[in-house]
Order: sequence, then structure tokens, then C-alpha cells
Amino acid sequence: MGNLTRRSFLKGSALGVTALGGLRLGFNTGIARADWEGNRFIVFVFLRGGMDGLNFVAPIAGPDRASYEAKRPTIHLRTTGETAALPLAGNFGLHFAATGLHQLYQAGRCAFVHGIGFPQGSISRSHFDAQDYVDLGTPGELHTPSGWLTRHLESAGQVPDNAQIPALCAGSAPPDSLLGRRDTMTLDDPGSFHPNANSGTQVGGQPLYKLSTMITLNQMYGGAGVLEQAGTGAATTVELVDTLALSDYTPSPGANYPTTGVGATLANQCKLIANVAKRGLGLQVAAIDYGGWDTHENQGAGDQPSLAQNTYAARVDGLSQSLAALYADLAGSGMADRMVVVVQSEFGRRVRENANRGTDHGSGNTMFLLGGRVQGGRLFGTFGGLGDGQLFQNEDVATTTDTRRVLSEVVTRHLGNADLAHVFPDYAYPGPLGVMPGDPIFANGFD
Amino acid sequence: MGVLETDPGAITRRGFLAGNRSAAAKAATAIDGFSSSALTPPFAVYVLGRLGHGPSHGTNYSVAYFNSLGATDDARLVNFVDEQLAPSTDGSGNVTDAAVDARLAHPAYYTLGKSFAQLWTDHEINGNPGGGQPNVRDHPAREGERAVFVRAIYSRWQLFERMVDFWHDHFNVPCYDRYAAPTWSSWSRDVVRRNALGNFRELLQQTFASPAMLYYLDNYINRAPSFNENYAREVIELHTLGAINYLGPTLQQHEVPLIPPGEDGAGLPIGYVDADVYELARALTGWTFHRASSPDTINDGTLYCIDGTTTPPQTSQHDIGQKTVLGAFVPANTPTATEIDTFLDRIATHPGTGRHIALKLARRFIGEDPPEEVVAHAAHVFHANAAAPDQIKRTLRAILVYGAEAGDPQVPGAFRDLANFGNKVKRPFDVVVSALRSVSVDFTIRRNVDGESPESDSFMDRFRRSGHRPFDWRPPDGFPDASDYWMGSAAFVHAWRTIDWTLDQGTGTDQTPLAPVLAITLAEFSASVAQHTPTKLADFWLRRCFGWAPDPTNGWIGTGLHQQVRDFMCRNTDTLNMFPSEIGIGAGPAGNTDGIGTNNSPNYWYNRLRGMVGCILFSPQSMLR
Repeated sequence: MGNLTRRSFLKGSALGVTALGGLRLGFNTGIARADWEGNRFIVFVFLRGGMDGLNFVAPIAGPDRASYEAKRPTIHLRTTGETAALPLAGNFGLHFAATGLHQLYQAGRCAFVHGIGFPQGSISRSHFDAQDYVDLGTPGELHTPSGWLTRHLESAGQVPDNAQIPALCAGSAPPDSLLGRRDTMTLDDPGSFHPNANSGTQVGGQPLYKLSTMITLNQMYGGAGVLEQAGTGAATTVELVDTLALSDYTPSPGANYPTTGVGATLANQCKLIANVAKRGLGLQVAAIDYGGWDTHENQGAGDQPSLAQNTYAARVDGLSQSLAALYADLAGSGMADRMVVVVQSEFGRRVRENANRGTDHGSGNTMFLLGGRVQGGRLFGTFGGLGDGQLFQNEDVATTTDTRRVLSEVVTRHLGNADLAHVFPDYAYPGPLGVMPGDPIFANGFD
Repeated sequence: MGVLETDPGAITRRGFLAGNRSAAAKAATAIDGFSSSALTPPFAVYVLGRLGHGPSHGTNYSVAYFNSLGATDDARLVNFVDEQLAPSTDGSGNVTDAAVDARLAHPAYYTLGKSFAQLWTDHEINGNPGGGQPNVRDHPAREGERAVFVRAIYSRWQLFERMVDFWHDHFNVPCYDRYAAPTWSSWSRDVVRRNALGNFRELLQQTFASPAMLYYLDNYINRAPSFNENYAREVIELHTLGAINYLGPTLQQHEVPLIPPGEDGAGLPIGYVDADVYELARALTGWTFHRASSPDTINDGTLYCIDGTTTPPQTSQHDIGQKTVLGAFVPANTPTATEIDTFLDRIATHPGTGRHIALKLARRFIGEDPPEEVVAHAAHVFHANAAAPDQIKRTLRAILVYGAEAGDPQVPGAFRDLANFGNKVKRPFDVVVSALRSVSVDFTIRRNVDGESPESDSFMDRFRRSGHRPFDWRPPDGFPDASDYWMGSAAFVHAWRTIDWTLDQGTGTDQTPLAPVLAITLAEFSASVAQHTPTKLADFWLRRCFGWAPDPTNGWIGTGLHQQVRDFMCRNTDTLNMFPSEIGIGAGPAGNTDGIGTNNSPNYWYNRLRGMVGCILFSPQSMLR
């Protein structure tokens, strides 16, 4: 029996393990619908730590330029030279390190929204409260028992019955945006992802007792409890990684994921998402965290081109390169229209830089979206201005657009989920900004 | 914009203090207990798993020992808690622990006993001269992230180690941070361990005085007039009052309601607003540590304030104006040490801090939704003992023995309630440590000096991927306590993988097994191979790993878990054919002559035995506390 293959084992086993075709993470009871628009999905990128959106998309001309330079004497984006901001619409420019995103913007596939955040009564300058507000999708309310992406999946009614990986967290622990979603695949890296570390004697190309261990794991975690579901998810993830050979993946030509620098981990996670998305496993939602934005000190002088000397620029560079590669990877397989990437942080930072050439916690911020259907090449939202009397509490960029407005547009117009009342309870959606195109399916419907 | 709509009257103390924030939200998604299959153990096993990392065979942290401490579970609990809360110490107040001390005497550990001054000289000043070799700057951090395993596995003072873990999370500093790494042995010993059961104000003071914290949260460069609020905000939001007492950015200090008469802290503001953070940040301007940053010439890592009184003279970086934090007023030009003492006293003794600490402790030890009565009681004990040198010990004791002493009120869900078993899923560190304890592993995880202990590096490399590498949490809030966070596939799989690796690994030239699985098996069953049936082997190892059995006569035999584990032992590597469950391995009949200690094809018995023990340690029963 030495040449027993995994497939024959799964077929031949009488021990109650699911046959190969039935391997899936789902415990979904959602209504199966037609596989409309070829499984569109969202990649939700959370920039934890409070990303300084004002130095991501900054005024490079116009009435706010002087205030911007005056309030940020060291760190303001420059308009000339090696670190000149990359021009966007109107008076705005993009951080010089975001070249990949700028190319997508120019190609009309990336859009920025300024002045996003929470409604005034729900503003918090605590990282942890504000992150919960974002993850749970209920600003001001920390008791919400599920994440906003979880509620989208619950109400979308379109998770295909045969979805093997409807939700993916690329990392070692799932974010609270997927709180309560028990079929999330949580995978840090497909390499060496199985519980049998013993690399000695092998049978069928596998560690000696790997298959037997998987059988026992599936038996032990066969119950209906939350822990049993989690254990089954872990065992199934191991089997899917194996069965699908997830560790064997070649990105599309032109998808240049960075392998060094602060973005290398993010790039690896983006690559895993592309890898899963392209295999037709029913992916609906993917979530990634990319931290390190709590730039209270030396966040990077505006004229410092060296990424080694400019921490903020290095983060932006990693973000831009990774997401550009993700887009190119999907586009290379003709799947860019399926994907929307939504990138946001828990709050923006104070307009004035502090004595340490850094910035402290603020509120209003920038978010951005990219994908084949994003109506890019444009800026959305309302920039409240940087002049005296225009800042929130004389400190922050004013919040003019509720984050949930942008997310609602994505949920309805891209993900085809009309049930906003479930996804964002108690939120009165004022209608789309126009970041995503209207969908004819719902032309007569809610939007 | 700029019109702030607020209604201070709407904020009541009760209303917002009742807020359990996101952890409660997470708990709301959980059923009563996470598992549908795990069995409720005896009270002793539950307690040993909550106060520490589970029973350790033949020690003072075992089921037998616990049960010898009194006539009732309540009496045993009180006696055991009191014993665990009084660990033996040396003349300097360091906890002594023979088994741990013997292991940490290994020459690979050479920084744990160094004074702060010595660490500063050896690992900061001379840590990495010129950026070349030898680079010893990180050695204290590297020792620390490994010593924590040794302590957790072998310490008889398990509750003390759990509290050390709690405070390391609470006052989180990543161990490889710039000034944490060279001083880690002192941070861990002098700041955290020395005060883990002591006085909270003193613990707060020591964290503040530490270059590790001053650097990590940027206070070392917090200068007037444009202050850096980072440390001030986290001191209030994470270290003391906690975000449960944050009233948001719109209220001003004078708009905050006061605690009514008759309650702890009467007359103080009920919570904090951003202005309190900013005022504390101003008070913290200039506070840094000596690192010979010109014109300062001292380089010893000690705390000082650049307030115009230094030698040699430095331009003051301190904001001399008057300040008010949580109702405590300090006039302009107050000496900086007096000023910061006043404010740290106020925030450390504000009842909101007691509430926050009590709530976190109760969540850590009882569950994510602890009874309000217990939390309120512990908060009061914390507040009433603000000046006591054993304030934390008293607070913790109040939580653990609530309802267990004569005349105590009975509250469902208090620590003494066995129904709490299963409402906490072990974090990866706990999964691995409890597993290694239960198989009596002999493994002094340590820094791999000159290739002397490659298995230590291999172990750490595998464990790292669980997401729970010790002291490797970058944001200041510390590793999450909530079980939900740790139920992702990666956390499970990499914890299991680390256990599996350890069960299979040998050490030294003769490759002595780290886990004496075979030796324990043979010692139990003597040499009578007829006894080595899969049924008996599975039962023995279930009892051995968990320290109890559901049935006094039949042990685990008859349970679903026993059947699953027994079947693993029976299942041949072809995964199709089964060895009989009632026949001794190696006892015949024909062909069945390879014993349990052999590893020949096709049965690979020794490998299979270790695999079976692994399955026990991967089971739902093993993942719960």
C-alpha cells in the first residue's frame, strides 16, 4: 500500500471522512442563487494603527496648500524633486511612494475618498475602540456580536452551495470584521500547514501518520459546538491546502509581488488571496491586516526619498506594490472585474505634526478602492479644508462622509447585497457616491 | 462643523461603566462553553487548568495534591489559592522555584541575573559596538522569550506565572523593541515579576521608569510645547482606567459628571476625556531616560526629566503650566517629580482603574462575561487597598475565592463554579505548554548557543506561526484574551504542529527523546506485552494527559474520545486496515512480534504511539480550560 495516494485514500476510506468533492469550509445555510457575475468578491485591507491619510492624499496646490505646509513643516508632501507627490485630480497629490496605485488611478481602476470616518457622536481617538467600530461596522457600539463582513455574508444569499472557501483571512488570526463567521479559512501561509511536523518516514509522499491524524481530527471535532466547528475548519483547511496544492502557485505575468521590505508579508497574503480567488472556490470575502501606521514620531520627512530613512514611505511602498501586484495578478487572469479592494484605517491623524516629526491621533481620513469595476481616476467625498475654523476641534481633517456610505455602495453595487439594514443596522444610507457603477440587476431596486 | 452636540446629563456612571466593550460582544457569540463534546472534569482539574497550565504528575500542582488540602472543594480552593499566592522568595523578593531555577542555571542563560546597570553596560552600551559582531544586544530578549516556556512548563508557582503573563500583556512591550531587547531581563524581573502580586501604583511606576516603555510609547521624545500624546493616552486608556472609562472626544473636563457621594472615589470625575490625556501628556513632557543624548553625558538608562534642573544644563522640555488630570490640580512650576507623582497617584487610585483591572482579571480567570458581583467586589478590594503592598494579591484572591469562604454570597458563574469549565479556549501558548507538561517533557528551551540546542530554535520557529510568539505583539494592548481570536485554523494547526514536533524530537548525540512517551508507557505497563492493547494504551494516556477519568473503574473506556484515540492506535498506515483493539502489541499471534518500542515497517509502533498521544493533545478536551 506504499503508493497509496491521497485521492484513493479519500475515496476508499470507510471511516467517515468527507469525499474529496465535499471538502469545504462552509456551514452556510444561505440561499443558493445563480452564480451571478461570476462570484464577485471584496478584499478588505485594514491599515491598523491610524494611517495618516492626509499625507497619503494631500493638497499640492490651491487654498489649502499653505495651511498644509505650515501645519506640517517637516513631513508635508513636496511638489517638486525626487519626492514630488504624484498628481491626482484637482489640487491633490498622492504620496510619492504609491507609484503602483498611481498607475491604477491613471488607468481608471483606483479611486480615493477623502474626509471619511465616523459620525461626530461616534468619533473615538482610541485605536481599540475605533478599530472595533470599523470591524463591527457599528460606530459608537462595541457590543455588536458580529463583524460587518460576517453580516454581509449572512445576508448576501449568494454563497454558492459548492463554495469551498467563501471567506479567507490571510494571517494567523481572523479580524473582527469576520467575527462570528465560523467558516473563515484562516491561513498564514500554505507551506508546512499541517499538524504532523515529523519529516521522517513517509507514506504516499506524506508524513507517516498524517492521513490517520486527519481522520482522527475529523472524528474528534465532529460535533456541533463552536470549538468543534473551529477544529473542523482547521482540519479542512489542512486538507484543502493539500488537495488544492495551494503551496504551488504561479502568479500571472506582471504581478510583481515584493519579496523584501516591510510589505513582503502583505505581498505574500495578497498572493494567497489571488491564488484562492483564481481557483473558483467561491471566495466572497478576504480580509488582511497591515499594521504599523501609528506614526507618533519620525514618520518621514517630506523630502526624504530613502525608504530606509522614511518609515511612512516604506509602509506606503509596501502597500502600493502589494496591491498593484494583486490587481495585476487578477487582471492577468481576466478576473479584475470580480474584485474590489477596499482599504481603510481606524482614524486619520492630527493635521499638525508634533515636535517629533510625527502625528498624533486624529479622526477624518482617506480610504481608497481598486478593482476592475471601480470608477477610478477620480477623488470622491468632500475635503473639509485645512484653514483656521475648518478643522474638527481645530485638530483633525473634518469627517464629511460616513465610512459606511462607501462600504454600502460596495455591498450593493459590487457584491449585489441589497440587505443593508442587516449589514449596517441603524444606518441611513444616503445613496451612492459613484465609486462603483450601478448594477442593472438592481436598477429597479433599492439603489 | 465644530458644533458639538453633547448631552452630559445623559451619561450616567452606571450606564457607561456597565459597558463591557468588544470582549463582551465576542462572548455573546459563544454558547455556554465552546464545546459540544468535551466532558466536565473534576473541580481540581478545572482549577489547575485555570490557575496554571494543568496538572503536573507527582508535584504540588497535581490533582492528588489539590485534593489533599481540605474536606470540600471550597476549602481546597481557598487553601490552594492561598498557597499559590504565597510563593517562596529569595532575599530580594524574587520568586524561587527549584525545578525552574535548576533549568535556568544552564549556561545558555547568562543575562537573567544581571542587574539593570549591568544589562545596560553589557547589552546596550556594548551590545553591538559599531554595528558589527558580536551582537549581544538582543540576548536578553532571546532568553526571555524562551525562559517563559521553561517557567510555564516547570514552575510549581503556576498562578504566579499566570499573573506575570497577565501583566506582560497588560503593560505590553514587544521584547525586540529598541530598548526592550537589551534590558528585557530587568523589565521582566524587576518590573513585572517583582510586582506581579504587589502594589499596582508601584507596578505602574516601574513601567513608567523603564526605558523599554518610555521608548516604545515615545515618551522619551515627548517635549513641550507640541507634546507627543502616545504614552499619556495609553497609560490612561490601557494601563489604568481603560477605554471602558473613556467618555469620548467631545466632552470637556468641566462637563464630566462626578462620582456621587457614598461610592468609591466620590467627587472624582466619573471617567476621562481627551483633555485628560492632553493634560497628562503635558505633565509627561521632558520625561526620558539617560542615554547620553547630547548635551546629556550620562548613559545609564535611568529616568529623568529635562526640566531645566539637569547637569549639564539642558534647555527645558517640560511644560511648566498648571494642569488638571481627572480632577487633580497641579499649579504652574510644580517640581516635575511631584507633579507626575500626583497624577499617577490619581489615575492609579481612581475607581475606574480598579474596575478596569478587576474586569480584566475576571475575564482572564473566570470567563469573558464574569458575574458583575465578582467584578464589583474585586474593584472595591482594589480601591480599598490602594496603599497595600499586596494590593494585587488581595484583588486576585477576591476574585478566585469569591463565594468559597464561610458566609460568602453565592453567585452563579463565580470562579468556584465548575460550570465555567469550557468557557475559555486555550491560547496557543497554553495549548502547547499544557501539552508538554502533561507528557513530562524534558526540554530546557533556551538560546541556541553555537549550535548547542538546535531543537530550541526549531521549536520556536514552529510555534511562531501560531501568532502567539511570546512578547511579540506589536500594538500596546497586548495579546487578545478573548477565545474567539484564537480559534482560527492557523492558531490551531501551528500549536498542534509544535506539539507533534516535540513528541517526535530527540536531543543530543544519542537523540534522547524530549518527551519520554515510550519510557512512561513501559513504566506503566511493565514488560507484559499482553497489556499493550490499543484499548489500554489509549485509556492510560488519556488519564495521564488530563489527570482524571470519567469513570473510576473503566477510566476513559466507553467515551467517544477513547474510541477515536484507540482507533488511531489500531489504524494501520494504509488507513484502511485495523489492528485488533484488544490484542497486546507485540504479544502475538503470528507476525505480531514487534513491540510498542519498535518502529519497523509496516506498523511503526513507536511512531504510532506518539501519534496517538498527539491526537489526545489535539482533542477538544485538551483545547479547553
